[in-house]
Amino acid sequence: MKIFITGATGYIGNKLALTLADRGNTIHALVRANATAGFLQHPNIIPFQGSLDDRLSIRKAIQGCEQVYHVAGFAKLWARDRNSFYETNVTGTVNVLAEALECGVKKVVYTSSCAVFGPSVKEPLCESDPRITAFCNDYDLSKYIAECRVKEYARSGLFVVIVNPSRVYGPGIPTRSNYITEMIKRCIRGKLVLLPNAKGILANYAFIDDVVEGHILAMQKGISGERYILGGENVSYHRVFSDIKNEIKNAKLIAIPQKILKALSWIEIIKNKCTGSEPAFTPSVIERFFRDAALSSKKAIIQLDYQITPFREGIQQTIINLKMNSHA
Amino acid sequence: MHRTYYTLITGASEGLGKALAIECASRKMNLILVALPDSGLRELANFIHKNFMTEVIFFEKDLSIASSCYDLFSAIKNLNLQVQVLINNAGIGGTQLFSEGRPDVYEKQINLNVLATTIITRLFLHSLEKNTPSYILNVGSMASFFSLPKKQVYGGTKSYILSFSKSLRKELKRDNIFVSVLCPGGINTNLPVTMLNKSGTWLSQISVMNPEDVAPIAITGLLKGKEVIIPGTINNFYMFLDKVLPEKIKIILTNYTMTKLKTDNYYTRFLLQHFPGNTHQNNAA
Repeated sequence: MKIFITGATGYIGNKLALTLADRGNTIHALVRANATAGFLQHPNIIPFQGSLDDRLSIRKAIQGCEQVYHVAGFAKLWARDRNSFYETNVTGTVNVLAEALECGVKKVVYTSSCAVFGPSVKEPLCESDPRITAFCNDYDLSKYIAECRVKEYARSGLFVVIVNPSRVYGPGIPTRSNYITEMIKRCIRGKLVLLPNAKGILANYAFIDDVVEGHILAMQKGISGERYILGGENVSYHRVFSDIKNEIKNAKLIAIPQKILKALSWIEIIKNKCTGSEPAFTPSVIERFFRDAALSSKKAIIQLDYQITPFREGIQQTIINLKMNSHA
Repeated sequence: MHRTYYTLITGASEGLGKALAIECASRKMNLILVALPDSGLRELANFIHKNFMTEVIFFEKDLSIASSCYDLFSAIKNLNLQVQVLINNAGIGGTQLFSEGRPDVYEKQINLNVLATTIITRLFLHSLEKNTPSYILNVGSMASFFSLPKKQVYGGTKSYILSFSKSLRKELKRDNIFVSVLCPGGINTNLPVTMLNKSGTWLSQISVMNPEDVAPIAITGLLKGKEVIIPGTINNFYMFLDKVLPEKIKIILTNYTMTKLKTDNYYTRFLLQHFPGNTHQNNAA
C-alpha cells in the first residue's frame, strides 16, 4: 500500500516510516529541502521534497496514497517568530487535511500531543476530560487548535483519527521530543543530569515502539473524529530516578528545587532576549514539571488493542540500544 | 437533619466559570453548574465529581433567553436543592466599534449580562435568605470603571453589574447575605479570546491573567465578604493610576491601548481563518 507520511525525519515519524516500509508498504515522505534525509535510507521510502506551507508539494506526494500519517509538527519550546507554531501546526495541518480530502485519501491519522491535556488532579486524565488550566505556551495552544480543525474535517467527511502520544522515550533520532533518551545517554556517558526535585509528581512516559504501533492500530481500528491517548505508565520522578540508577550505577542525577529551576529558566529567557539563542527550558515548562500529569490509555487499550511496555522494561531496552550503538 | 448546600455557577463550561467551579470543588463545595447545551458541561461535571468527590449537578440552558432563567429556577426548586452561594458568571464579551456590531447581538449581550443576572439573583434570593450566611458573586470587569472605546455595550452592562452589586450589598447585609463583585481585566477564557489577547498592546497584555489564577482570588474575596474584588497586581496598579493621574493623561492612555488593538495582524487574521464568525462575540472581558 502507498502511504504518505509527514515528519518522517522526526523522532516518531521516522520510526513509523521505517516500520511501515519494513512491512512492505511504499512510503511517500514529505521532506524539507534542508532536512537530513539520511534517516530515510530504505528501499521502500521515497522522499518528496516539499513543506507543509506548500500545498502543491503536498499534493504531489500524496497523490495515489491510500493512507496519510500527519506526524510533522513544530515541536519546540521557543521560536524566533512565534507564528511558526501556528503556521506549521495549524495551517500546515489544514493543508494536509485539505489535500487528503481532495486527493481521495481513505484514512488519515493525525499526531497531536498530550500537551493539549494539561495537569491532572486525582484520577489520570482521559480523552474526554476538560483542561483545567489555560494554555501557557504557543506549542500546546497550536496543537489544540489543530485538533479542533481536525475534528471539523472529520465532521465534514474525511476519515481522520487523532492520537495523543505522551512523553515519548526510547531509541531513535536525537531530537528535542526525545529528551528522556538524551538524558539517559548523558547518564551512560557519566555526565551530570539535572532533574526537577519533584519526587512524588506523576508523569506519563510512552515507549517509542508502543507509540509507533499505536499509530498503526489507530489507522486500522480507530474511529474517525475520536482521539486516543497513546501513553505508558504513570511514573513519579522518584521512580524515574531509581529505575535509571538501577540500570546505570554511576549515573549522576541531581534533583533541583523548583525555585532554582525557575530562576535558571528566567536566565535562559534573558539570554534568549540578548543573544537570540534557543532557551534550554522556559518558566512554563518548569511549572509543568511540578504538577501531576497522569494519563490513562484505557480507551486505546480497549478500542485499538494498544499495548504498554512497562517503564522499567522500556528503560532497560533503551539503555541496551544506546550502549550497542555507542560501541558500533 | 444535615442540609446539603450548593454553589450555583452560571457560564461554567469554559474560562473563568470552569475555573471557579474547580476552585469551589477543591474547597469541598457542592456545585450546580449551568452552561449552554453542547459546551462540554457533562464532561466537566464528571471530571469534577471523580476528582474532588463533591456533588455536581448540571443544567444546559441558554440564559440569554429570560424564560430559561425561570426554567432553571423551577428545576432547582423541584429538586429541593439549597443554594447558598450564587455566582453570576455567564456573560458575553466583545470588542468592536458600535457601528460594527449587530443589534440582535447587543440585545443578546444585554439580556445575558444584565437581565439574566438580575432575574436569577431575584429568583434565588429566597433560598439565599434561608441558608445564611450566604454569598452572591457577580462578575463585572475592569470595564465597569473605565469607559473604553470599542467596549460601549459591554462596558455598559458591566457598569450595571458594579452598581447593582454595590447597591444590593447594602440592602442584604442585614440579612447576612454578602454581595461581592469581581472586576478582572483580560482573562484567557476561551481559544479565540486567548488568541485575541496576544494581539493587544503590551499595556493590555501584561494585565492578562489565566482563569485558574483569578478563581482562587475571587472565591477567597467572596468568602471574606469583600465588596469589590480586583485580581492581579497590574489591574490594581491601573486602579491606583486611575485615582492619581490627571484626566487628560488617562484619555491618552486609553486611546493608545484601544487604537493599538489592531484589527489587522497575524492573530486577528488567524482568528478569521480558523474561527470564522466567532471573533467578536466571546464569553470574556
